[in-house]
Amino acid sequence: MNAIQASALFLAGVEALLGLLVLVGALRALRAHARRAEAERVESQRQFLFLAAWVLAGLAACAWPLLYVMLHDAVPLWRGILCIEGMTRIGSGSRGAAGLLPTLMTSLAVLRPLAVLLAGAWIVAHRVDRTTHTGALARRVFALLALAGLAGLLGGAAELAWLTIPKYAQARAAGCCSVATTAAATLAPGARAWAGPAFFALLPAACALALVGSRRTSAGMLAAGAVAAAACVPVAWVFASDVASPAVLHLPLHHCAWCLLERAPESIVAALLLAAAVGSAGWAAVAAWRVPQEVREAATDTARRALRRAAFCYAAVVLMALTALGAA
Amino acid sequence: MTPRARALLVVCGLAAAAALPPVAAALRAGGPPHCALDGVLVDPLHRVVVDEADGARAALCSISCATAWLAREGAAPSSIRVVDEATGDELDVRAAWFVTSRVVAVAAADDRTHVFASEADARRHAQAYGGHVLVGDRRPFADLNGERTR
Repeated sequence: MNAIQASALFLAGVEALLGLLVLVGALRALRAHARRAEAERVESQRQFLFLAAWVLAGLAACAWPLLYVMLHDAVPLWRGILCIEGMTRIGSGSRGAAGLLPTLMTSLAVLRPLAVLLAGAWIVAHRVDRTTHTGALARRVFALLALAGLAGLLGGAAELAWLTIPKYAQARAAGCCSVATTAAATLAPGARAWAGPAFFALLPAACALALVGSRRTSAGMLAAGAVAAAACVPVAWVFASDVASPAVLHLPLHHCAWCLLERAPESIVAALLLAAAVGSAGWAAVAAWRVPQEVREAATDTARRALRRAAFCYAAVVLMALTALGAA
Repeated sequence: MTPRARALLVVCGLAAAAALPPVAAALRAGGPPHCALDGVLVDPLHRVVVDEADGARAALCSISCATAWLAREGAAPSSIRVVDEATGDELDVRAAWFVTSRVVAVAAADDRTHVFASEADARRHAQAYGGHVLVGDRRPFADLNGERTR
């Protein structure tokens, strides 16, 4: 185990513990809030809970990139693995605990960004809630906190399991960028030809929705913006794999988004911008969706700023994609 | 911040985003060759160069990548050149001797096929590292037109 793996192991352990703490604390606060009888005790626990939640949010933000730095760092140690995609397939076809490794990695691919998004959603809702004296959004804040805690707990536990399950001498078949099926997986040019048109239709549409929503914030616009943002993630991933990667890397038969991120580092900027856009659109919906009258102004203001940020990030991603394909 | 300053900032940010990929591509250009199939850096000692009938040329990192490259639909090589591990000289694939052994040739591709110009070098490697010389249908690219059968 090297320094990066040890750091990841430590962070995952702390994250799982803090996630559990935050989950339990948030559920208790939710229950107490519903009873309205223990307001003073809830208030005293709130400070500690929020402090733990801030640390958890920071850990989630660190653990997500660290996971992939760790995988990238381990690639040369595995014969027949070319990039992170191959690392995520370690254990495919194995029996016993090692057979769980690909499932754990797939879970992490969802849980890691989800933890960041939920922690961000909690921060946004918490900030809006702080503008009131009555805690009008307290239920939403605690519910988001419970979800963020759950995501942290599951993410930390999944990473701990992935790191501790022995991996040597396990089969690593299947997938682009692991040798067993490199040919089968990569020799399929144009397999998903819809990716380009879908990307260049969906992202500008999401940008336009965010721009319109930043001027006329309504429940419908917020929901449409959040749905469009959620749809952008898989479409952008397929676009990166099937359109951007072959073109930018000049490897027409190689369809791998991880290789694009590794060998064309500017694509990391595009990925971060897209994450910011998706997060901002989601956070806008969380902040302003059907809020009580007393926080409406603050919530709308927060949502509008988030949507303007989302529109900028979407536009930047589309421009980057256009110029990257043009330069290729 | 005034609306004009904010608008200027947005335009500058978008311009910077648009300029980033071409600048990065220009900085990457002219680097060492990468495998046309999987993008791995090509080791000069294990390079395979495929010239296609339409004039296109592809450098590949290993015999297994070259085999996969040629397996794609419509592939029609006019020549394939490999590198003699003993001397580093390039030679036509039809004149090469192939050995598979315990020694990994290209780790990224998990390829254990070694190329030699002389039969003596090939047999020496096979004997030293528990391998065997590939002949007949087991030779890489054996099904190509004009390939000499050993």
